[in-house]
Amino acid sequence: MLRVLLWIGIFFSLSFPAIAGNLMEEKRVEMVRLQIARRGVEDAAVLKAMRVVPRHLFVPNYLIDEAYQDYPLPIGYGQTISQPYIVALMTELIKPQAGHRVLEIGTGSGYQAAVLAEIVKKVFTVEIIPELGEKAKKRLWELGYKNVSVRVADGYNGWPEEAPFDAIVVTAAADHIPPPLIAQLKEGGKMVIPVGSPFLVQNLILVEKKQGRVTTRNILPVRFVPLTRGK
Amino acid sequence: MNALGPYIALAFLSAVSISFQLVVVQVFSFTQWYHFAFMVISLALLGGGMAGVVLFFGSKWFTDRWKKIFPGLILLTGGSMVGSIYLSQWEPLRFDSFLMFTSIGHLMKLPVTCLAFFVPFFFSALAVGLMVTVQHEKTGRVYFWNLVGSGFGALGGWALMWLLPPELMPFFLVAISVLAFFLCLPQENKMPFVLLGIGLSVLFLSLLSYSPPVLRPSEYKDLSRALLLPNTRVEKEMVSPYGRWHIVRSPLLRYAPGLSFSFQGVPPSPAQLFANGDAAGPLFFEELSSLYVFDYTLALIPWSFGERQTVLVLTYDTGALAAYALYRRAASVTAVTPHPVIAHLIKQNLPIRVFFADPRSWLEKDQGFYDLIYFPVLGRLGGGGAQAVAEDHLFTIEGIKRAFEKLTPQGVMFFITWEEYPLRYPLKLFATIEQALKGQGYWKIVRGVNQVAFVVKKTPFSPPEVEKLTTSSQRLQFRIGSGWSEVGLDVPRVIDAYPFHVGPATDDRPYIHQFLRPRSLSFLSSHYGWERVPFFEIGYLLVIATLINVIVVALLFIFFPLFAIRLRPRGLGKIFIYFSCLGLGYMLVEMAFIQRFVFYFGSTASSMTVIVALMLISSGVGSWIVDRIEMTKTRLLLIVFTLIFILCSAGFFLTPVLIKTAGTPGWMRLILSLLLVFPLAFIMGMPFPIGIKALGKAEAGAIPWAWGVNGFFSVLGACLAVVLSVEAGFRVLMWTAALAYTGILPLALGEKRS
Repeated sequence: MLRVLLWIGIFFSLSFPAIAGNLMEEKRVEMVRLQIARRGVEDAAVLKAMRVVPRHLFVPNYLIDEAYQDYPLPIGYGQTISQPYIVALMTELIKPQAGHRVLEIGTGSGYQAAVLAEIVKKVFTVEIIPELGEKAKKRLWELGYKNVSVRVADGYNGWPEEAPFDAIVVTAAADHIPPPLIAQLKEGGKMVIPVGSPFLVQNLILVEKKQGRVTTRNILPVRFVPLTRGK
Repeated sequence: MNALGPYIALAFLSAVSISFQLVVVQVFSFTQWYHFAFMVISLALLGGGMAGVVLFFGSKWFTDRWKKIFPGLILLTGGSMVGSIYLSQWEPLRFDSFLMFTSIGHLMKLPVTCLAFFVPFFFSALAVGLMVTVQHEKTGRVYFWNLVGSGFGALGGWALMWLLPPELMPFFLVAISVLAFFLCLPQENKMPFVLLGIGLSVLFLSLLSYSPPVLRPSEYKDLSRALLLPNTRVEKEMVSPYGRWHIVRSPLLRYAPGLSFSFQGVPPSPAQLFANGDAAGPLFFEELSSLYVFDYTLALIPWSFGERQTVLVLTYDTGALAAYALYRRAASVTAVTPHPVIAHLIKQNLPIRVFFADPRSWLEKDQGFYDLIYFPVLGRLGGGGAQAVAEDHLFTIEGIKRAFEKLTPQGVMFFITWEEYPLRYPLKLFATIEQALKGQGYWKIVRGVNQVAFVVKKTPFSPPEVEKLTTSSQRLQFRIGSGWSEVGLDVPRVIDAYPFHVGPATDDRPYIHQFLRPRSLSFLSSHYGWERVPFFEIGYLLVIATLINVIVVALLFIFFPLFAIRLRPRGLGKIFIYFSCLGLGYMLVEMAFIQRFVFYFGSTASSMTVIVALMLISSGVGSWIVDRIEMTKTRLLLIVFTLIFILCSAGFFLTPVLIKTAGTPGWMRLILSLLLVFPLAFIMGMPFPIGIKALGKAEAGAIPWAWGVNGFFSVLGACLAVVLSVEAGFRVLMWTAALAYTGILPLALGEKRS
């Protein structure tokens, strides 16, 4: 009897990660179907990336159960991992292509960078908080995202050595659009950035550079808790 | 026990309680948001009502032992004040207002925090209620010491806040509690009490020495996040009744709101001022040359089409636009700010005239004329929601009209507002300006990056002016026009159909920051989800949420005791109406006056201190008189009708009187305030002791219940005052208070002689 119990125990402890992994995958599929596709995100590459990246590995352990919920989660240092929909929307807005080089400002947990890395050729991401940047770098490396470069620096200045970029995704709000980022955007490139008070409601803005002229379009109000729901 | 001892102890206890309310406001304003302070205090003050319930149940037990219990309650009040500060900052209980709308854990911590602050108010109210019950024949005297103590407590607490940070103030309050405790010890068997008092004093001193409490602001507040940035340091920290101020320097905190795309390079990083942990603005004092960055923002517009020699900057932030006017070489710059700390900083660092005053009241007295009047930038994109219920008499039809009168013939008024979505500030501001000018002025709209500006002139824009304006706007990639569509904004034609309240603000309803109306909720919930609605206008929603909570708790605990012990005091309905109306009426008036006098005294903190102190001391004197005159039916009716008359007429005369006299010197305003407040508050202090004395003769057992009803309805009145003021205006609020005082009539009409 004892031996049987022992074997059952060994079987379950070995198969638990696979079961848990399957459960999380199911949750991801549901998340994409209910929270993202239903709200109008249509880009197949974006939807696929959102189904693939294991969001639960980007949140603190105590929040793993909530990783696929329809809201942002705290990751410490006054930062959050954005709501899944907002990550998908920001990714879709820059129209990412397989050959693109994309700059992300505000690495945070590294989740947005991982989603981008599933679609584009190379992602450059900058984080100002050293502790967050180092953690994200390690996490992304362990998860096999070799096409992501993480730098701990002031994102305001972008990444001049690697400029220009096909697209820029800014996940930290500011009261203006940093001129160095506009300068590092390729002709025809797109940048998505929340503008406004960093702590309450911001406008998510799509910036486009065409023939040297910059145009902007208001997308929707967001917050560090992004403010949106279905159409 | 010395004959006067318990009364003096009661006054000290009341002073301590009211000072602690100021402490709680400061603690929550710094660690969370001001509006959570309002919510926590309101719910904590339900302790007053609960104390009545407990006294009602244990009436005999309490009254038999009151000489021993009363000092004990004083000690418990002080001790629990210190305890509540520690508890609220203890990590397992510390809630974060920024997370509570997405995290059930943080939501659950909020009631626990309220409970922690409820305890001291409960003990304090229990002590006062016990005195009222035991000494109901001398209620006038009891109430006098209670109110006068509270009044001086407000003044003392305010003064102390210049010296001590809020987290340390409870230790001072506990010292006063210990003093009050010793003043009212029973004559017999004193020693255990003395030892207890000494022991607790040693305990609190040790706590203060070895482990003083530390306030930790939410990690999502501006200050917390700024301090996480590398190479960032606090240069200076100041405490005051106006909040806690930090000057922070960081190479990474850049300032250039609404910067044009034409700007090349990196904006400057001036030192930044944080007020209660929120970014208040940059301090452009050291190098005016760094203000060149403003040449690439909307601030440039009024300079782009004419000379401006005399500039008036009405500011709510750190006066960056005043520094910019100096940079633009204006001959004379005047800045007016309602923040004394900011006024002091500007005065020390910039060669301009600086006034610490409410900008509107300053405009009323000023005799000068200006080429340019900068209005404060409205909203910090999304920040408006937090100050929704704050009165602002500058951005009203009357306020803008007054500023318009102060322009030179070629002068310009300039307004900047954030372009948030759904659009609210630009629409409401435009509606207010349009109503203020009524065809007299001329304007242009300039749309920058996420900001909209209104340029208003007395005379028509000449063709060269239009050309210069257009050229500058184009250089900065801004859009200019005379209507919304010309600047590319899609604005509804029929404002009434808009889901938000964007009609003009008036002196009667001076709420430029308030937009929610019932239909806004369905609009916001259908577009963004219920859970996100609070972020659009948190301030007003919290007041309404508090009001609902208070109503539920109040009704539950007012009627529960009656059902629980099946007691039906004689004249139950009359008692309920009388004491509920008194609580409601008093707080409606107090809240209305505090809000209205902000404009008189420059800030909420000053107004609250002066008005609370004046009202309570005046009411205390009114209570004192009750014990000294024979109360006849005629006199009672006279009191009621005088009250109703003053309140009804105050709805009409108070605002104009305040506006007309706002320009007088400070001492004169204090005297005028006393003249305006004293007669009303003096009479308002009389009905409560009259009621308790009458009840003591007819149904003494119901006194604690009446005390509780009054306590619950006082809290309800505070919340209702805010809602009524926003929805219906000051006049209606005063009339509602008058209506509440008619609740005295049934008793007055039935009373022959008390």
